[in-house]
Order: sequence, then structure tokens, then C-alpha cells
Amino acid sequence: MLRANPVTISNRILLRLPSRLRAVAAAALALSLLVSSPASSAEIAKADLEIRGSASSLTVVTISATTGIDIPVAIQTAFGGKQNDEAPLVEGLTAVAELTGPGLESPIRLETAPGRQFQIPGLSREGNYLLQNIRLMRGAEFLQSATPAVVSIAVANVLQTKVRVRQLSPEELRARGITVDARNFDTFEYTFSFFVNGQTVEIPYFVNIDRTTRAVLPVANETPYALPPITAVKPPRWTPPTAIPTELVEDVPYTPRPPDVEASGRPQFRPSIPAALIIPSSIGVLHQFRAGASENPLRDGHGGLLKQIIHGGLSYDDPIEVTSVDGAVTIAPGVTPPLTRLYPIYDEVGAGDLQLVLNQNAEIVARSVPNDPYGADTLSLSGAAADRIAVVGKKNDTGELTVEVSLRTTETLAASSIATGVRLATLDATGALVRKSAVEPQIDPANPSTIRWTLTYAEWQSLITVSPSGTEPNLLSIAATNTLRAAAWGAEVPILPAPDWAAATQPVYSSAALPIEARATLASLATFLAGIPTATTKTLTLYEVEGLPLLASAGGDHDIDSLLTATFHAHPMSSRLGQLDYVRARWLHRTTGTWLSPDPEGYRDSSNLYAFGGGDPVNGRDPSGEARRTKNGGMNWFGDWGDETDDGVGAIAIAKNTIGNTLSDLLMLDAWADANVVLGDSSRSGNERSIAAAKAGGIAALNLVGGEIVGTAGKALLKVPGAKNLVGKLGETKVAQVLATDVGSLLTKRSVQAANVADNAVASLADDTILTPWGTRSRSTGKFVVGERSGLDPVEDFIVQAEANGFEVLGREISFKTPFETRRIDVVLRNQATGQVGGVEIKSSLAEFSKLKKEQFAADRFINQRGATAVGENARQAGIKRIDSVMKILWER
Amino acid sequence: MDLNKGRRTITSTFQEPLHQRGFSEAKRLTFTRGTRDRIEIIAFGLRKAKVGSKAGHICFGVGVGVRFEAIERALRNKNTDDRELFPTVGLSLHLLRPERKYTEWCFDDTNSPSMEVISDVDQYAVPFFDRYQNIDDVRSALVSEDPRSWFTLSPAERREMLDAIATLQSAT
Repeated sequence: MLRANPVTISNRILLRLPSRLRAVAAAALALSLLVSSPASSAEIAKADLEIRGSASSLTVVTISATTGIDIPVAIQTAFGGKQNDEAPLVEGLTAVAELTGPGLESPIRLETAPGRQFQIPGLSREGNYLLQNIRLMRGAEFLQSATPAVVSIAVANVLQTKVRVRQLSPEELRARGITVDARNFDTFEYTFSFFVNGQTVEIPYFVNIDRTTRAVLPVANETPYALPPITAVKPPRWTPPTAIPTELVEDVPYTPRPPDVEASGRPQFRPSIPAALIIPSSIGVLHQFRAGASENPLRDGHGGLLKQIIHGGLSYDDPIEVTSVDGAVTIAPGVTPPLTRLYPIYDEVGAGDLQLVLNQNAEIVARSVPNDPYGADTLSLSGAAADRIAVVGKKNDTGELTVEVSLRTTETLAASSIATGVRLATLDATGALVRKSAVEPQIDPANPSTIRWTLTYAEWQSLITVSPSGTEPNLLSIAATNTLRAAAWGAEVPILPAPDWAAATQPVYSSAALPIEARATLASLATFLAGIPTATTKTLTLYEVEGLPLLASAGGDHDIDSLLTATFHAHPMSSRLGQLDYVRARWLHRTTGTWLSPDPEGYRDSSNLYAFGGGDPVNGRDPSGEARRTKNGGMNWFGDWGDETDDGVGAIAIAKNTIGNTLSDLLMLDAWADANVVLGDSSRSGNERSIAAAKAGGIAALNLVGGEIVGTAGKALLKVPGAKNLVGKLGETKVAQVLATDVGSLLTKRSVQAANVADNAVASLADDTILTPWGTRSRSTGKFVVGERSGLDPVEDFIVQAEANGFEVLGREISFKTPFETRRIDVVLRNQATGQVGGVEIKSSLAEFSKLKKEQFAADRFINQRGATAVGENARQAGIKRIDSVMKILWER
Repeated sequence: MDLNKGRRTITSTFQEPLHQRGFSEAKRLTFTRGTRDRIEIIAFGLRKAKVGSKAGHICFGVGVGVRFEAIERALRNKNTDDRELFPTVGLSLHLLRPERKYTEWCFDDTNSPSMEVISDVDQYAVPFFDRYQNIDDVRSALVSEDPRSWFTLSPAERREMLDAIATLQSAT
């Protein structure tokens, strides 16, 4: 504690006075002290001189200071107007002050030479400190108060950290060079502020948050962490099942396409789908990029590139790779079968139908035209075709004749095949060759799909003259040989023959050596050419199928046939993170397999306005989100009951529609409608139509008697009076086999649907979320051809395929607790690329779905909506605690 | 062989070799060693194959894991009552193998896979226990961007566990 001496008291008094009075009083006090000083005049002479002058006083330069905790600070003084080394040194004089503040129990006396700095030590507590009573002393003698005599020192916490968080707008993101999609990410800017030496230093830090997982995503170029090498995880690839496709109905013999074509011009046989493999909606296992197809005519009728989206989490424009075994190849036991990879391409602009099938070289091996202008439902194409052959006569101003003969094809031709690929010749009356034109054919540079011969009058006359052997020419023949090739097709694919309907009405012929040949009599040509006026051009068209894209032929390739008859369809656009597919009229939520909005067609195809494919995605399609189509394109007429009244609007119409759909389900009228489509299709084989008749007859018989068939459905149905008559020529054994499989499946499906109705009803009472039709989330994904793998555990088979496609198995037969029951899931998988974990319940037959209890459906829905906790030995063994999604798939052996 | 007999067979087969490695049977098909704060777990799960070449046989998998009580308390996992002995981080033994292919062992009339399992325990399980000695070891694995380092956790579970670990570490 300082002693309260008179000087201290005086200073305190001074501090209380107004500034002007304080200055006057201080001067008087200093003068009085000097006068009363006991020192000798000699000792103080110099100092007296300096002090008395206005330039000789002690002043404080640093009138306030700010520092951090434990950080020293200096208070500068001036003496005689000079600082530090420039200040005069007067022996015995000191500048003295006391430091007070919140961290000090008693004032600290500090001294320095006049004009030098007071060194304030580091202070450990925050607050305002005072360096006060700054004065000039000579020993213990007070000489003068400094001006000012008090300095304020603020001690603050320098590392005063604060964090501001705000979400950046897309514009701000772009301004910072961050290229993220604002729809997919939340990006926050964390600003770290540091208070250093009175200045605020801010450091912004950007953080991206994945909206789906809430995980923090690294910002590009700012993370110090290196990503794992990309080779660590193999990209998903589809490994084909080593199996040979077989027919769904095993006792129906496979009938290869006969060498000659029926009158309709289409194949007699279309193989059925051997089995259905449903790709889980959240597993994108069939991810394969197509390469090298840029030169192919993969454009739709609107000029846009054909694009497709396949269900199963694949992204926009990813072609799907389907691998199957050529059924014509005999595989020895233990030998790996040769594989064929095919790439179906779907039309995104249309209804998502299959358009093309490419091979591994991106060459077209088949093309499907669902709505061709000539009336057929579907043309399956296996090559390019000629669609116009013409003769053009030109006469110039002098009447000189030039003859141009042209052959146009549907696609760009391979230039190397032109020399031997076409023939211009004359024939005799019997069709025998008389003379070939010596003029070389040329590809029209403006139209690379057209070949042209340009003959002068002399060349024309030479062509139509009598042969050296004396044979009289009678016909002009313009033909493509079997070596002409289109550029986009494989070297083994010749120009297709003319369809029979065209050959029946136009002068066009086909043979093995000349797939297409047009003929015209020389007499008619002479008349035509003679009739051309001077300076005029006229055209005589011998053969033309305007707009014919391609001709129809499946080519007998079993794999391609299977692809063309499969009921794939594409979705135009998908949102991978949002799990949504845009399907023309509506958005489909892939995880739940339901539409996000009600059916714009009302109750036309289902009593559930949100059901995909009318609640039956296995047998139906829903290419537009408007109405279910059966496998073969049929529409269930009874499901429309009520649409004729009130345009489907209103309580009565809804009631009628609901009744109609319920009756439709109960009476299996979908199957009835589909079977009748097949029955009415004259292009179908006799076997197919017979089977369809059996189905239709069986259903009709079942409905007529109202029988309830369980178990051995076929045998039971055989006992129904009239059934055998309805099925015609197939006989009892075949009826039993057919109905045991098909009708039996329909019956089990019906019971599942009934359970689903109840299931949805329960859910609608307890849950305000979108209803989930049974199994659609895993069954709206597509169908793939797989073969029979007898004797193999389907779960093990699935595991092998999943592991080959970028998944790893975390555990098998894991139980999860739900309010409905403890649900045991066959396999729990992780996607190695994304880290997502999900459960898969595998059913090896459609009938197994019927075994699922209502509680199990409810449990699955619960898991998908809220997740479930794992319980039991197997969960502990596998280290699995929780699961957030589960899917049911049909994996047929 | 039914499931109960399968459980008894597993216990009788592996009790002694695991005991030699310091493990004791804490509950059925679950062997542990360590302190209450950090428990090393070897667990068995089994099923009866119904179809395929293994039909009728009892097949089982082996899992390894480490339970950190501090993390479990922070996470407040409902299913991680210490009596249940669920590992905090763990996985099936086949995921510790280089090829990471799903593997299970089956008892049949002539074959006992005990030597193969114990060999795998020595080769893969023991190094796993050594690798995850403390919470920071777990954190180091989970911060990786490679999902294969996340044990069996989903992305959301991984984030929760990292948050729990961060909370624990900041508290100390």
C-alpha cells in the first residue's frame, strides 16, 4: 500500500478539478514546491531551466492502451518534448506512476527515466487498468505531475472467438468458386473471428452438408486429406449369371424361326420371358457406359438423341447392359458358356419403349418400331433396307438424254461395300441376266444412303442392246446384292429383303443373292424417256416405301428376341439423390414405388390412385403414369367401368370404378385382357395363342363357377365342367401344367393383393404417409432374362451377384425389432461406393410373396419409414445395429 | 443338427481355444475379454441352411468387435445395453479378409471347421483388437472417406458416432 503523502493528495485534488483550473493549480503547486525545495541552486539549475519552460515538462504520449491477457504493453512518455534516447538525461530525475486495476490487490509503483517508456507487465485478468499519478520525481521529492497524469489500459481476451453461420445463396456460392448444386447441398460459411491488437481478423470456412445423409462434404481444393485411391473400389459391373435361358412353360418346345417368313412378314415365334429378375430400386448394379456409338443413327423421330433411364438407381443416359447366353450354343458341363453383351436403348421422347439393341461394338443388331406407319404393332428389325428405287431422265437444251438410276437405303451405307453391293443390269423375259452396266455406281455425296448410276445416252444404249450371244434384253434390273452393308450395322448383317406386303403390290423381288431387286420393262422405260421434253427432268419411281424406317425381322436371335419382347420401359429423367423418376405425367418415388400425385386418369386402372402399374408392376407397365398396360398391351375393360359416367369424377363414378377394379382383381380380368391380345395377334405362333386360349378359358371357367382354387390349381380346374372344351386342342396334361403355373400364380397374386388392400387400409388409419402398395418399391424396376440355376440357394446366388457388382455382405438373417414383429431379413448389404446400408429380402418365386403375413408388410414399411434396431445373435455377430431400408426382390432360380 | 445343438456345438468347439486366448463366454455364443470400459468381443451367429448344397447343415459366421462404454453412453443406443454386449464397432470376420467375400462355415457330418476359424481369429481378429485400442483409433477409421473403414455403420450412423466421439474428446 502506498503511503498517502501530500503529493498524492494534491494529485487527487487536481484530478477532481476542471481541466483549466487543474492546469493553473498544478503550475502554482509546482512553483511552490520548487521555491520550497531544500536542494541547492547549483544542483537544480539545469533542471529548473528545463522544467520551468513549457517545453521542459513531462508529458505522456500514450494516453490509452489496449492489450491482451498476459501481454506486456509500454506507455511512452516525453521529457522536454523528446522521447527515449533523444530525451535529456538528468541524473536523479525519474518518472513515477502507480498501476491499479481489477487484477491488483494494491497499486504497483512503476518507474522509468523521463521521456522513456513505462513497461506495464502482462496482466492476467481482463478489465480496465489505470496508470495514474504519473509524475516527475527527484528521489523522493515530487517535482511535477505529467500531462496527462493518468493513462487508461484495457486488458482484453485477444482470442475472442466467435462463429457466424449463414447459408450461402447460389450466387454467393458461384462468387466463391464453389461448384455445387444448391438443390442437393446446403452450404454454410463459418466465419472465425479473432481479435488481435485491437483488430478483428475473420477467416471464412465453407462447409457443404449433404441433405440426404447430413454428412459434411469436403470442399474441393480445400481439404488437406487425400481421397483413397480410386482403384480401391471397383466400379459396379454386372456379372451375368452363368445360365442358359429356358422357357417359362417348359413343355412348349422352342420353335426357331423358319427360314421363310409368313405372309405377315414377321416371325412366327416370340419367346416368352424365361424368368423375371427384379432389380432393387436402390441398387444400381447394372451401371455400364456405352462407348463408340456417336456415329450411329441413335436419333428419334424428333431429331433428339435416343436416351433412356432404367429403373434401379441408374442415372440419366446410362445404357443398361444385359448379358445372356446364346441359347443355340450347347455348353458342355463345367465349361463357361460364351457370352453376348447387348445394349438396349430406349426412347425417352416416346413412351420409353425399346428402340435399338446394340452389340459391344455399338453396332445396331436390332431395332424396334412400336408405331410404324404401316399398321403392325411392333416391328423387330435386324438390318438396314432399301426403300426407294427410281429412274431419272434428263434432257438438256439440245435434247441430249442422260439417265440416272438410284437406289436409296434407310441408313448410311458402308462405302467399301458399294462396288459389289449393287447391280444395274438388263434381263431377258425369263429374268436371266443379259448384260451388266459398265458404269460404276457412286454414293450420292449429299445423301450417303443413296447409290446412283449416271449413264450418258451412249452408255444407256449400250446397256439395253442385245447381248453378244444374241439375247434380247427385256427388263431393267436395279438390285442390292447380299454384300451391301450399312455403316452402322455389323459386317454380317445384309440389306433386308422387301416385306411381303410390299412385294405383293410393287415390282420388287427378293432372293438369297439379291435381297432386293426392282424391275421395269425396257418398253415402258423407253416410253417414259421418250416422253421427256427438252430441258426437262422427270422421275419414274419403281419402288418406294416412303418413311419406312426399317424392315421387320427378328433374325432368329434368341437373346435379341428376349430383349425385344421384355417389358422394359425407360423413365425420361431421374433424380438420384431425391429418389424420384420423372415419368411423363407424374413423378415416381422409387423407394416407395408410388406416384407422388394421384392418377390424372382417375380410377381408370386401379382403386389406388398412387399405385404404379395399377398395383401390379410384375405383369403391368405404367409408361406414362396414366394407365396400366398389361404385358402384351391389353387394357382391362372392366377397370374402366364408371369412366363413361361423369368423366370419372364424382362419388358415384368413384364407387363404380372402385367396384370395377375390385371385381377386376377378383376376376383376374387383367390376365383375361392380356390373353385376348395374344389370341388376336395373328403373328403369334400357334403354341402361344393356344396357351393364351387356355389362360383365357381357365379364367373364364374359374369366374363362371366362382371356384376357389388353392394349391394344385391346374388339377382342380380340370374338374370344372367346360374347362377342357374351352382350352381346345391342348389336352388335359398341358392344361394342368399351364394352369398350375400361370393361373396358380395369378391366384396367389390375388391373395397377396387382397392382403395388400387390408395392409393399406391399416396403414391409412395409422399413418399419414403415402401408402405403399405391396412390393412395388422393389418390383417396379424392370425385368431381366436369367436362366435356371437349379440346386443353388437363391440367397447365395444373389450374394455372389451383389459382391461382383460393388456390394459387400455385412450379415445374413439379421433380425430387426419393429412394433409389428421381429423381422428377419435375408441379407444386409453395403454399397461400397456410397456406404449406404440396406436389407434385402429375397423371394425365389412369386408364390413366396403370398406367404408374407400382413405384419411382415407392415414391418417392412415401418423399417423404410423409420428404421429399425437390430436384435439377436446374428446382429451381434455381424456388428449390425440398425437398418433404415429393406426391399423385397424376386430372384428366380 | 438343429439350431440348439448347433449352438452347443459352437460353444463346446470354441470355448477352450478362445479361453486360451483370454476370452470367456459372457453369454451364449458371445466371448469377451477386457475391462468394462473396453470389451473385446468375438461373437457367433448361426442359421440352418434350407436349400442349396448346404441344405440341412448348421452354418455360422464369426464376428469381432470392440465395445467402448463411453461411446455407447454418448450414443444412448437402445440395443446396446451392456448385458446385450453389442459391439460399438465390429464386423464379420470375412470383411477383415483381403478379398472381403462373404464367408460362413458349416458343420456337416464329417467336417469341423474349428481349426480354420481359430486360424482366422489369430490372423484377423487379434490384429483388429490391437488396432482399435482407444476411441481415437475408432475416430481415425471413421474419418476416412472410404466406406469400408466404417465397420458396419451407415453414413448416418458414422456421422453420429463421430459426433459422439468429438463430444467425448472435447469434454476431456
